[in-house]
Amino acid sequence: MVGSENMVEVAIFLRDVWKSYRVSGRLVTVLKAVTTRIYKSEIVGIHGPSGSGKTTLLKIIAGLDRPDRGEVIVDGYNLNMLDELGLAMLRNTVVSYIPQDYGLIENLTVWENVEIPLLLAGVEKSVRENRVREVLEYMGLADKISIVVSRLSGGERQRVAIARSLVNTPTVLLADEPTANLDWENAIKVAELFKKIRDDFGTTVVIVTHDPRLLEFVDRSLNIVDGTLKEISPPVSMRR
Amino acid sequence: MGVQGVVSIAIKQLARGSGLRIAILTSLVIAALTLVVGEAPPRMLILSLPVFSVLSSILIDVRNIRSSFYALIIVGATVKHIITYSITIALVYIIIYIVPMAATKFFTLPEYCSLAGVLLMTVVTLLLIYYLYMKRTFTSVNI
Repeated sequence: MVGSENMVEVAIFLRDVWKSYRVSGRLVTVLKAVTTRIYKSEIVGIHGPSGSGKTTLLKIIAGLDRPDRGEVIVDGYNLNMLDELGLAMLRNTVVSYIPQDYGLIENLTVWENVEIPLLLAGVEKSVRENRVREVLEYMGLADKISIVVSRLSGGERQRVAIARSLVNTPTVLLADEPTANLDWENAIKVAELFKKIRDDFGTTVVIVTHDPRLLEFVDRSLNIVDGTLKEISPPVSMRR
Repeated sequence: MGVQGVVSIAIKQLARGSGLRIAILTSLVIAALTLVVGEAPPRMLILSLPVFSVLSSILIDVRNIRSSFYALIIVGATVKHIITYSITIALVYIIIYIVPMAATKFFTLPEYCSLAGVLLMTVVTLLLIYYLYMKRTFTSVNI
């Protein structure tokens, strides 16, 4: 049980989380008794080799998948207590997930893609337009609003995905291999952008990566090997 | 919550995809053939050709539809949103087939209704199957 005084500072709490998949008729345990706390406004990197369970962990935190066993609390919401509708609303308001392939609608424009979360939330048109404009300006995409996403470069698409993830002002931002499709120069820009987002909005950022170089931009690193999570640098709260 | 928004996304998606152009073309060809021949084509043709065309169109646009479902689920779409998205696409296809054929005035009202019904069921079923497939891919790949 997380103490109430700590819970105020905890953005994500995982306790004894297990997850298995059936792959070619064989049961593969992807996550084994994962327990960790991620604090508010922290940037945490989850590092590990392919197939180690990084993406599964991120999807469970995002409410896109459910653990077989264990407790997941995100921004005070116990995900085990939420039904499909509750999880959908969580993804629309509290948690933003950026998949490795960005998850954009290729034949819609930058503006239209960024507007989608607000459309689903039923936000009024004038409010929606102001919010989309603000976010696109913040992301340096104001001059690209009417460009169809499929015509953008990898770095620009990444920024559109981040803009879409910010438009509903989430408290938790989850990014799956955010720099995997970028050269190192663009990867640094994205890493610095996550820091800026945390500083400006107090957003908790969790980055899953297999690139160890990205870990120099995070406050704390967790290493996942064979489904088990290990801390490889101390939490910010302890460093302070 | 936000149902109108999903309708606008679906219509934009269809308008920019190449599948819909094929559907329009097929529809116009059926209507033109009907006018040239001077009588209604066999009932089976009325029913099977548009359905075949809808299937082809959706297969052509499957990448776009996939990206839509993917994006919608990530940002918090509910089953209600997905059904709205699917029905919008079905209605657009129905309008594309029914309107040009209605202009030929060779078909009876029951024929229009049966065609519309078959199209609606085909598209909605296909898209809902696709939604379930998308849900599955979310929970079983990229470990």
